This record gives sequence, C-alpha cells and structure tokens, in this order.
Amino acid sequence: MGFLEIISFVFFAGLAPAFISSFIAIAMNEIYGITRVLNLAQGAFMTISAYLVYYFFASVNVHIALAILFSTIITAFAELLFVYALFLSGILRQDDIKIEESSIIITFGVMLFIQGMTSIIFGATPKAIDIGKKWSILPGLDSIGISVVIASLLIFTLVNTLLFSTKFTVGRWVRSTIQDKDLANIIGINIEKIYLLVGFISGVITGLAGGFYALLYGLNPYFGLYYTIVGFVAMAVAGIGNHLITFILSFVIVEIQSLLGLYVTVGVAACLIYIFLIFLLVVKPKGLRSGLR
Amino acid sequence: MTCSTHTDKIKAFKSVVVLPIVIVICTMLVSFGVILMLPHYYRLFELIFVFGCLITAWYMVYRFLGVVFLGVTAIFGTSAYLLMIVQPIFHSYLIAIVVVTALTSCAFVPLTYLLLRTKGSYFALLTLGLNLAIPQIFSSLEASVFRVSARFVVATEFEKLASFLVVSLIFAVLLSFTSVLPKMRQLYLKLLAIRADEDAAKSLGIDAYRYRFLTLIFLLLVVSFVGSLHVLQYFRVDPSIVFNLDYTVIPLVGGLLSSHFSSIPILLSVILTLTLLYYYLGIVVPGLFEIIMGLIIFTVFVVMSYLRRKGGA
Repeated sequence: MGFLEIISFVFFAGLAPAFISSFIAIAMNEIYGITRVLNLAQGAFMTISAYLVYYFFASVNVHIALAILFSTIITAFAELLFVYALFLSGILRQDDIKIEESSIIITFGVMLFIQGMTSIIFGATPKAIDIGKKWSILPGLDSIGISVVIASLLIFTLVNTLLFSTKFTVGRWVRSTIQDKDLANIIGINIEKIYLLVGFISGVITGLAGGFYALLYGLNPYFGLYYTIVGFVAMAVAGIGNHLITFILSFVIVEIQSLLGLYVTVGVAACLIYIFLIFLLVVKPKGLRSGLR
Repeated sequence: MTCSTHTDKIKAFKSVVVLPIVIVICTMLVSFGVILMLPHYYRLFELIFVFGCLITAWYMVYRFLGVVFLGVTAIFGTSAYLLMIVQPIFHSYLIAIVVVTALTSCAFVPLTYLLLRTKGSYFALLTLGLNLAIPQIFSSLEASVFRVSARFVVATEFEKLASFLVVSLIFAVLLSFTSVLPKMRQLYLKLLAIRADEDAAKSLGIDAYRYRFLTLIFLLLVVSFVGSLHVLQYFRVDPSIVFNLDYTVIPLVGGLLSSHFSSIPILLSVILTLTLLYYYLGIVVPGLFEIIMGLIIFTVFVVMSYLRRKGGA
C-alpha cells in the first residue's frame, strides 16, 4: 500500500466518527449558546440513544431505521425533560456565570447517573450490533459509513437552516435569545419555549449521533465522555453560535487524530491535540470568532 | 476587660494548638487500633484516609478558589502509575515516592498554570479531559515502549503498613489545617477576599493569582503524594485500575456536601458515609454507586434550588 493510499484510507475511515463528534459539538454549542448550560452529559445522552438502538434492534427485532428513530425521539424527550427541570428549579434564571458553574456540576451528576443506569441495565461488557457491511466504494469507508456521512450532512443543513436562518421566525427568535435573553424576553419572545425547543433539537441531534455510533462501533457505558470533551473543545474554540466552525473544527480534530495515529499511538495523538487546543483557548478565550454574542 | 482578653487567649490557644494535636493523636490512635485489633477492616480504613485526604484538599480548593477541579483522577493515577515505573530504578519505595510526588506535581504545574487562565467552567471541563488524555499516554507507553500489560507491587508488609500510617497522618494534618485555617486571620481573610471579589482583592494589593496558584499546587502535592502511597496497597496495577473516575467523583461529592454544611464533624461524617457507600455498594451492584452519586449531586443543586425557590415564593 502506497503512502497516499494509506492516508486516504485513514481519512475516509475517520469520516464517520468525525461526523458523529461534530454532531455532539453542535448539540453542545446549541444548548450552551442559548441556555448557557455546559452540558457534560451530552455524551451520556448519546450513550442512552446508542443502547436503545441496540435494545430495539437486537432484543425487540425492530428494523434498524425504526430503531434509530425511536431511540432519537426518546433521547430528545430525555434532554427536553432535563432542560425543563433546570428551568423549573430556577437555575436557568440566574446570571450566565452562575448557570455555567452550577451546570458543570449538575450535568456531571447526570452523566454519572446515566452511566450507572446503563451499567446496571445493559452490563459493563461491550455490546455490538451486527447488520452486515455489504459493499464499499471508498477505501476505508463501508456502506454504513457512507450512509452516516450523508445523513449527517443533511441533518446539519436542516438544523442550521431552521434555527439560524433569519428567513424563519424560529431562527430569528433563537438568534435574539442567544444575543440577549433578557431583551428577547422583553420583546415578547417566550424564552421558556425557546429553551425547550433547543433542548429537544439538541436531544434529536445527540440521539442521531448515538444511533449512528451504535451502527459503527461496540458500546460500553463510558464511551460518551470522549465525544463530550471533543465537542466541548470544538465549541469553545469556535465560539458561541458558530455552528459551521464548530462542525468543521470537531471534524478536523478527529481527522487529525486519526492521521497522527499513523506516526504516534492514538493516545499520544489525542493528548497532543488536547494540549494544542488548551493553548488555543488560553490565547483566545472567547474562541476563534466571537460568535453571535 | 483583662479577664475577657485572657479568656479569648485561652480559647484561641485551645483552637489553634490543642485542637490540631487532639485530631492528630486521635487519628493515629485509630490507625494503630485498626492495625492491632481490626485487621479485617484495614482496607476500609485505608480508603477512609485516602478519600479523606482527597475530599479535604478538594474542599479547600473549591471553597477558596471557587473552581471545580475534575482532574483528580489524572493526578492520582499519574503518581500511582509513575511509582510502579520508577520504583524498579531506585529499588526503594521511600525514594521513589518522593521522586514521583515531585515529578507529578512539576509535570502538572505548567498545565494547571495554563488552565487557570481559562474561565472557571472551562477549567472544570478541561481538567476532566485530563482524566481521558493521561491514561492514554500510560497505556501507549506500556504497550509500545515497556511492552507490559500490567505491573505488580512488590512492597513488603512493613512498607504497606508504613504507607497506611503516613496516609492517616497526612489526613490528620489536613484536617487540623482545615480546623485551624479560620484562626489564621491574615491568610484566611485574603483567601476569602479573593473568592468573594477577585478584582477588589487585587486593588487591595493581594496577589490573587499567586494565592490561587499556591492553593492549586497544594492540591497537586496532596493528591500526588496520596496516590503514590495508595498504590502500595494493590497487588496488580494497570492504567484502568489507578485511573478510576471514582477518585474524582468522591472528592467532588464530598467537597460539595461539606461546603454546603461547612464544619469539621460534617466533613468527617461525609467522608465516612461516602467511603462506606463506595466500599460496600461497589461490590454488591456495579453502577449503583454512580447512580447514588449522580442523585446526590442532582438533589443538592436542582431539587434544593427548586425547593428554595418555592419557599422564597
């Protein structure tokens, strides 16, 4: 195998996981941008979805597309409930800094709870779905990988258009809430509804990411944390509301990690990227661009 | 007037000198009592002292810096695993522990220095990321450089007992320090001022960054020292054992509960309760401990906030 072939193989093999991590990054950016909740449990919600797909497909014998649909809906409602609980408790009515600080601890607790529940219900041993990978067009990318990439692109475009386009009323409301939630409240935008909507959409994106993940890899209760960290770093470096940059950055992080894995071990590659991104956050604490705020 | 000043001096003497001595003597008595009379509970008490050290150090950082440090596992595991790598070179656990504590603290100081420059919430998330990144380095090192999957502790019984006693002594010293700190007016007030309003503290001439940094170094030293001592109690060690997220979860929950009900008896009862839960539930149902910790955090923040809001209304 020539050098270029190896590079292209690694690149295409990293495409699907890169898209999955981009999903989590966008979901985190959305929740953080609007509610100021730094959701450490985003990866854990993804775990719920992945395990539900496994359950529906392997135990109830539901078609894989339906399994992903059901699990996505359940995950979306779970995240919506979580946002609603935060709203009811009054945490989302505090200052931005207080919301961030308390949300870190609360979502860490939620992450532990979900990990514990999945450990008890499904066991800590790895689980995997076998749906048969039939054909391959590109080196390193099979049929499932290609479907994941295409579906991810479609969903990204849809969500971005709906939530952040000024052509839609919802998009205008969301943008206003990101820029100044108090002012948005004064001009009559129902902040509670926006929070719930964003919680639901973030849950849908996370649910889909979990579903796609279940198709590609083995599951264990702790896999979500890696995606949370990558998602957070991409989100923080990109800046609030910068969905496209978040998407690209998260994609690039995972791809570079895969490519670096050719020269150093994957663990060391992850560390190198992590340290580089910390430097970037120190130099530019508000991200590469200031975003919508 | 003279009489009241005299009484105050006696009270101050009792709280600054007598209380710490009493705490240290009691803890050492408990340690020796466990070794001589309750050998079956040796492991449980060792965990109590280890978690006690971690919770107390974490609580101090949370109380005075207001930052949530989620990278305890990374530091704890690094010092523990580094000890396993370094010990064969020195052929002595004593020298190895000193070297490892110094090495781990020095390695994390620049990183902490960088992280402290980010926002509080980013700091928490990035320190959590350390728990993922550092074990990967050790796993890679073991697989590609040393070509071993696990290491075995070769400490004698005497060395294990000595490490147990040292951990209990560190715990006693930390607890004494926590109890005495409010009496050290200058330092205590400076730390409180930094926590309350960093800009105001700076304008009063307090070097806020220096104190914040020193407090974090204190945490690094305690965690790495306890980590290198604790690993002697194991038989077989691999990265998944020492880089366990429970070493972050327990200080977090313990520190949060202690800061909500700030007093020494509460701190002690929190340490005891959490260790007992970890020790017994971890064996009975894997995952149940995490559920309970998650529920505690959720209750402390969300449910109590809701009840407070309802009460206020």
